[in-house]
Amino acid sequence: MPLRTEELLLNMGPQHPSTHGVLRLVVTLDGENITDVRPDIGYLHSSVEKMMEHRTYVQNVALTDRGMDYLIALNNEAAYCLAVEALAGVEVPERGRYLRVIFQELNRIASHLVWLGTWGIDLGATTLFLWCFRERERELDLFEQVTGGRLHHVYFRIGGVYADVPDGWAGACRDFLEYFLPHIDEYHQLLTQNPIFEARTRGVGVIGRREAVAMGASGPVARASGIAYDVRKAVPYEVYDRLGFDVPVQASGDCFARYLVRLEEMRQSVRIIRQALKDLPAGEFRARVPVAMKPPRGEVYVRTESPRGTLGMYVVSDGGESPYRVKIRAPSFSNLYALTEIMRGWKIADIIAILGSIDIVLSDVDR
Amino acid sequence: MSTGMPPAGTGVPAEPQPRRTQLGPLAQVVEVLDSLPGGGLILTTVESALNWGRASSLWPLTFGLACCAIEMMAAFASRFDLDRIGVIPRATPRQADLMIVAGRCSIKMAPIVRRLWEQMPEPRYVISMGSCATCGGPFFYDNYSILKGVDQVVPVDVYVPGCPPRPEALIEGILKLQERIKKEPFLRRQALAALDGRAGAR
Amino acid sequence: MSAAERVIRGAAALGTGLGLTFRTMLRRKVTVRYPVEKLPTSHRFHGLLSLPIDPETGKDRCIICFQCERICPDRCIHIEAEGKGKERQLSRFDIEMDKCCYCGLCVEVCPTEAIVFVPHYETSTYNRARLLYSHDDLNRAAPKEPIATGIVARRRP
Repeated sequence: MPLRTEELLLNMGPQHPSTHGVLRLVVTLDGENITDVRPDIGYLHSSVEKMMEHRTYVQNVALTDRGMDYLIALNNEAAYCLAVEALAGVEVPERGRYLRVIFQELNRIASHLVWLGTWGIDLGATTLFLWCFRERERELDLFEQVTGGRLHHVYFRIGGVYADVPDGWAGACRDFLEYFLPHIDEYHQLLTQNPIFEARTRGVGVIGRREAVAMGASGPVARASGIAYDVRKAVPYEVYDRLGFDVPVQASGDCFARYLVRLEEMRQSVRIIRQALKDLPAGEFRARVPVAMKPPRGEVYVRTESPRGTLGMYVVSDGGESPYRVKIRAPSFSNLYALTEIMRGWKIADIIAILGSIDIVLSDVDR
Repeated sequence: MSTGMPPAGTGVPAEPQPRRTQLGPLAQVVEVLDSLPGGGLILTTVESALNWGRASSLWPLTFGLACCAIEMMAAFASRFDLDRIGVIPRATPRQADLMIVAGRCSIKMAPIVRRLWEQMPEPRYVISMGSCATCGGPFFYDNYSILKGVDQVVPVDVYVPGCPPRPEALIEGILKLQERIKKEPFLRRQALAALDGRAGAR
Repeated sequence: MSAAERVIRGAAALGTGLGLTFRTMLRRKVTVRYPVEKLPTSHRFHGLLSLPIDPETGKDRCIICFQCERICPDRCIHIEAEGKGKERQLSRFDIEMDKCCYCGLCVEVCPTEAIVFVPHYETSTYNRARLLYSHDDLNRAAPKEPIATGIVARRRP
């Protein structure tokens, strides 16, 4: 007599220690094999796009920190400020642009550190979490000295940055980079050779090159699948065209490749910050922009490279004090879509590894 | 034990009586001990010892909603290390006695927060971390999706303001909760609740 | 790869990781024992908002221009004034600290630096109503409730 088997419907989340927020995955299981995954999003929908229509252009900078991806507050601010500057035709002074680049790259390192630490916990490497946050705290001290905030900064303004860096900050930043670089090697020593880590990530959750393009994946997820696309290289904004850096690419498209790409990105960020600190020009850091600014009627779409992928900002102005419409192209949202396709066929324990390697932030998915 | 209902068939509603819940064996001992001369002293000593133990091992539910969860993680990580004051994160509400609501809670998430709170064993406490959990914060006006304060669904003991609060601020909130726990009439709780006519203490 | 080779490789990787962990154990500790010792905050830290008293005039420097109230993205500053001309004075200056998002826009627009951040973050409270800071509280720039010590109080030096 054949054994009667049934498909099992399993709810993962919204409260689950490994879903990185409030994602709910409705998983259909055949034994231990995944036959279908349907993500249920919207548990953190904060209607930030609608709120932006009710606030002035200057006030919205504070909202981009919180309403969008909270780990990369400064990258969000940069995308928004770039969009409004393009709309209003504001020219940012050189020093302001360099400072923006430095802080965006610092935030990229901070974001990748959180990703590495939490993914480490998911895969059972608790040490990594403690180490990543140790480095991150030192970095947040650097942020705090300049912006006054640890996570939410409201440092970028339309037309530049809020304040200049204090005396001696550049030296402190160089010290941090000196301190931080050897730690990337330590992460490699801990994880890259580790047989357990390799078994859980190598060859798991493969996204092919074609699939990645078809599903709109971007950022490290796409670069791990062999697509050498980086907005900083393709459509340079700020001063990225003057700084030398490489775009790390891996061909295999599995979790391990995504891990390697992100570690290498941190190294490249360090390289960018060093160059920018060296070239940092003196002078003005902020253009004069009225508080009640009214950009002319029009619309603009700006792309930036956030740590999760292509972050797009579409702003429409009707000539008033607040934007007529703001639409955010969230990188996590597209990457999450790619996730549902690649999970099919894997075991249930791999969900955690794959989900963590995509690096979604639910605030970015839901907005 | 009176049920508070009128006796069947009389038609005349009985005098409303305070409902007395059945006391457990522990509460009965407490009640007897409390009535004895000098019993209060013993009770208070035992109580303070118990409360010290409870306050020193607050196990929170790791329940990250939004930005404040990152600062909560930072508080658990190496620099601030909440483990040293006995705060060990638990992943399931069944083992937790403290819920740190970190971040904004959407209306879609609100029933789940309530259910998680109900799944926690008593006595349970809630810390509302950050402006958004406290009253909606930046998402108070012009917003259709965020709950205006998590205290609309769960009772909150300590509010930690900040956007997001520093890890030190969260630790300070936990210390404040410890102070409150130390003053709680933990043993007399059940007896007091029974006398009040309220079933189940809070 | 043969089984023996895998075992050797695995053991070597394990040894590398554990060696690194043990070396880290001997390094300087990074943990701050918070209530007993406190980290200094930077002077730009966005802590509590306050209207400090100017020692020369004995009053705060607010000139009732309503700029902070207008720029606040959370609309958590409430200012009311009475009187006309030179007689005009504040009758209400409240900040809802529970709604505040500590963005610093009000500090930026203030023409007289009347409203500033103080590096004070220990403001947790049992009651949400206490997070409404009135004019007096803002002048005092002090928490409404005493700072907690919890069970570590006895360890305080």
